[in-house]
Amino acid sequence: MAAPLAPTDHVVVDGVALLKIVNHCEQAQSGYEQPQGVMLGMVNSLEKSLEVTNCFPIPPLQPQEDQQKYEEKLYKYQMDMMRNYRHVNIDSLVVGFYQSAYFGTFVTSAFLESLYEYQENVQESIVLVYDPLKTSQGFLSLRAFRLTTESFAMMGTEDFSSESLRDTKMTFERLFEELPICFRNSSLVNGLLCELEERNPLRTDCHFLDIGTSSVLEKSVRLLMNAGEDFIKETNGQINYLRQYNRTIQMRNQYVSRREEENGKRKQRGEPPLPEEDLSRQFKLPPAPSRQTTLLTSSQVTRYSRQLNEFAAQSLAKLFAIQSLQQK
Amino acid sequence: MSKFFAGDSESESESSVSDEEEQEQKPTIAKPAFMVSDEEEDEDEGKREVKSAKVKRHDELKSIVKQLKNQQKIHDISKVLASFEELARIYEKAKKVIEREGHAPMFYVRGIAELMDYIEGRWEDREWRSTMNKINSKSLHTLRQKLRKYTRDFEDDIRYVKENPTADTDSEPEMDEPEAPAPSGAEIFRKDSFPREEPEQKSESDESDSEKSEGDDFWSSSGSSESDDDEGKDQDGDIKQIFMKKSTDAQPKEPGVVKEKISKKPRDKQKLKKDASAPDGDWVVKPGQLPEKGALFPKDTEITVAACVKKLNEILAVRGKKGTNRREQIALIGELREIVRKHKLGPCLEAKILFSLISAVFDYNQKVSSSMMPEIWEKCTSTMDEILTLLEENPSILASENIPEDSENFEDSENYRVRGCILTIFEKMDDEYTKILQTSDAHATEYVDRLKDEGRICQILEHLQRFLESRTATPSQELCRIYLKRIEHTYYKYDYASVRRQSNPNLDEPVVAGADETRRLIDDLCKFIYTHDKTDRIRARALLCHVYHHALHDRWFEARDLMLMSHMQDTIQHADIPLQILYNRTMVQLGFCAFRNGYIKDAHQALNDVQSANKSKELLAQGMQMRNMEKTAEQEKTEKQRLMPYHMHINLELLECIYLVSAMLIEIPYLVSHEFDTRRRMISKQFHYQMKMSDRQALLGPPENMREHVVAASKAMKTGDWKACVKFLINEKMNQKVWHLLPQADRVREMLISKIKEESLRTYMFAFSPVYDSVSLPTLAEMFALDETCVHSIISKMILNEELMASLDEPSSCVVMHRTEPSKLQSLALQLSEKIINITELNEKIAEFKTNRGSQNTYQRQQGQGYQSWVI
Repeated sequence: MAAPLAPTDHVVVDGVALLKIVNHCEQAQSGYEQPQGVMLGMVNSLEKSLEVTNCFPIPPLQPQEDQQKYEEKLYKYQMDMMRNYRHVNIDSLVVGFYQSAYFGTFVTSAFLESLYEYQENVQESIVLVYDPLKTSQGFLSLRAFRLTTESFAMMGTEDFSSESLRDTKMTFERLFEELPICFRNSSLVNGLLCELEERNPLRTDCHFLDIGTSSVLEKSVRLLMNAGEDFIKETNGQINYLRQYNRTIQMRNQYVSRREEENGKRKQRGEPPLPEEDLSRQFKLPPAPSRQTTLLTSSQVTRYSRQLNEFAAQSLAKLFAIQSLQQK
Repeated sequence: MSKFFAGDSESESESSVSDEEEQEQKPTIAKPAFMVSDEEEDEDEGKREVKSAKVKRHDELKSIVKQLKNQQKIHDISKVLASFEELARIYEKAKKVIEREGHAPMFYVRGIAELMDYIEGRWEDREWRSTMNKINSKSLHTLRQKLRKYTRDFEDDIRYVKENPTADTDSEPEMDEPEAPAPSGAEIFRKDSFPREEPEQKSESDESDSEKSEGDDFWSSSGSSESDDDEGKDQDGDIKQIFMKKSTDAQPKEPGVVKEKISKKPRDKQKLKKDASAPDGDWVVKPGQLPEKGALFPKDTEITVAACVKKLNEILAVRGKKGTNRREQIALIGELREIVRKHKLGPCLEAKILFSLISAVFDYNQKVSSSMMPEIWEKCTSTMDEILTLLEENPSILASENIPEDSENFEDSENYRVRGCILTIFEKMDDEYTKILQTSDAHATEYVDRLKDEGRICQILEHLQRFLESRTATPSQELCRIYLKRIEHTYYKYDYASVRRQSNPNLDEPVVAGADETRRLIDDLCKFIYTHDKTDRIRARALLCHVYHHALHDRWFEARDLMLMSHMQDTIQHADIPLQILYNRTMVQLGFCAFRNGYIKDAHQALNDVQSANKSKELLAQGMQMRNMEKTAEQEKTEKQRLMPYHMHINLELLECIYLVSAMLIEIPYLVSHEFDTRRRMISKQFHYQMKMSDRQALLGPPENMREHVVAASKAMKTGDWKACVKFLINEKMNQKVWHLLPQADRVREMLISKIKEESLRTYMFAFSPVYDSVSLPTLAEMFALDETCVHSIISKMILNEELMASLDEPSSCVVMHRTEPSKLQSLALQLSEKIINITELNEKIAEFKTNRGSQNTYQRQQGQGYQSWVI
């Protein structure tokens, strides 16, 4: 698509949509499948914002179910849901999807692909990532991501070779862009909230004062280690590729030089030179490995480190606070 | 040709038939004489049909050709097709016979040609084709195509048939009236199958006749067929005569019957044989077949030693030849022995005959893989007994393998010499016995029956041993061999009696005479072998058996020291496979012994090699691996021959259990203490594998089999829960499966419990010492139901080995921890940093590649510009 991307620079999430997302993600905590759903809304080009006004969950794939059947059913289900929503006068434009993820572990190739698909339909589509663990600790964690122009174009060509990465100046940091989120409620709801707050005042929860850091840190470090392992695997693949590539090139060069020598001799003897041969067929270059996984892993590692950084900063602040309290 | 060869019938047939026919005919005549065992059947011999292969094939072909013709007449195409296919099939079978003849039989070719004409005719007749039903039209189509393809091979013959109108005209009328199958014309190619003269005697005469005329070229002219026919008639008469005579002669002394009787009642047989050896016995004996027993000795021959030896050699001469009746051979030798005995020709000759007899018995089975039948085995053992007794009773007989045949001496009673080695025979017999056990089903009662013979073998063995010992001339090497056999029959048997006697010496059990302690027996025998053996193999085997026996009876130190002194571990991989198997067995037994005595590490070490590759079954030669496909059939066969008989098996589940429990006791404390060590090595791969398998399971039920029990116990031990660990290992199920298999199981269980307690304590200290600042020893002792001194010693040992960063505080009897261990997070961080270093290294490698490539490019560029000169 040639239209200039990202005319929107922030996301506005309706209270209804937010509560629905949280509700779904908290309820559907089952083993392996991360709960996912489709978001509906509109693109507000005046305010340069993407408004998420409602959403509905996607039923997870049952273990015994056939993949293809599931997809058919899913498509029908989505269509039905959107039609129903339209009947009750709710926006029926799909503006992306949401999913829950612990510790920000969401950067996978499947994630990338589905985001690309949504963005292919509606350019402004985003993904909302919800972290139930952090929310339970007292911080609502919801973040909006979108593919950057470059990564979108790259997904389109499906070319993740080193060369194209170099040419497009693509780096792992430019894979996604994060958009700021703001929440909005209708005035009516705001009024209700005010009333509620008066009736039963908020419990002063002190979750955020928790100074036990080790479990979170441990988990983060473990995740980092796993990512590191993935990275090592990828790098090894890359090294193998390079080695093979070099060897092939070397062999080809040797062959060419021998050929030239031979031709030179033939020339001297007055014989016709040897016919040209298709070198690329004789010395097949190994297929270049895709750098997509490396890119994703790097992006994931960056995310982990950023989280760890934030967490450590907060914890340190807390610890300092406590230290000064104890001294008194 | 021997004199038993009756020449009469031979010459008769020769006179009337040509040479070529004689070859065909002989089996037809000779066979009935030997094969018949039933008198009744013999009487109406005329009715039996004995055909040569050729005649049989031709008959089959002919009948189908005829069938084909009939079906053509009624236009049943589908049947014609079926018959044609059948014909082609039988022809294929008969090819061998036909090849010998050189060309396809004419009647066959003619049948095919006719069929071809018929089919083409039908094919042309479109009107008819449109009227027939679907099946037939389909059949016609396929038949036409098939026939075209098929006749390509016979083109020449068919052309020949078509060019010979004489035959055609003759056969034409016959075609029209199939009800009269044998008019004059048909005899050109079919007269033999429809004899006109004697339908009631449709016997060999016809058959032999037919095959004879087949050989002739009877297509030369139609007139010749007539004379041919006459000639055949004459021959019929001749041959019939031969048969008549023969059958009348044979009747009173039918050889098959004689043989049967002989083998049952030697006395009768003797008499019968005398009758039978009448000179006018005129049956024909095939070359290669044994002389009839009736003809062992002509009636009036003087039976001397020389004659007997000659006879014996004659009997043995056919040994190993194709078609030799081995059962008969055995019977013959037995009979000869009777004669020798009757004529008192000396024990030496008898010994000689017995030696031959037993080797004939061994020869009875042709295949290496199959085992002896029970009755033959019975014969084998009894003969063995007889030889032994004979040799023992006559000390003057010198039997040895080193005496050549020509220097044997049967007559000089002071200095008998005979070739043959009783020891070798015994070894062969023992091998046969093993084979019998291998081939019989180990879970059937049959096996137990066979196993009862073990006692008999041992008896013979002891007898033989006494015999060899009594002979001063026996070379020590032979003694070694017999001792080794004795050891091999003893080492794996658990000596219950002596163990019971040892455990409570007060109990005055009546000591059974002869059942002396196997330990002393084996000790003595082995020591003799150690000092006198000159081949390493016997020594090695004896030593391994010795160790095995020690280990079996819980004499751990003796067993271990002997094993270590032998240095067998270094050389065993170069040894032959049976020795390696014995070595594996011994190591396993040694491991069991170590385990029973509480030497867990040694047990683990001893069992590790056998158990680690999951091939214990093969390594102990107790079965074959099913999934191994890369083996050739030959390899499989030899492997099958090496398998241990079932009663010598070592229980594999016990083996695995002991191995896993040993591994658990070693591995779990190590595992817990090195949880974060990236360079942790695996002590026991198998154990880890089992643990991993159970971790992978989504839902963990209560343990069912032995492995699951051990894994569950290991998991309990990981948290220092020794009670649960003991409960998982020692319960009713495990008792049934494993522990009851051990002698003195109670002692082993006690040992196991105390070991579990100790190792659980160690594990507990590894796992939970970071939690404590200090622990009091009495508390620990109470927790693990151990002595305080025991706890003290274990903790001290851990501190000494720097496994536990702590010190003992004597006055309060406490262990005080020194916290130096990194916390979990710290160790994780360390691991992470290691990983990151790894990544950096890899990245540098990639960068190196890039620069390398760059330098290569420049190199190439420079080369183009005269780089070489620059180098110089």
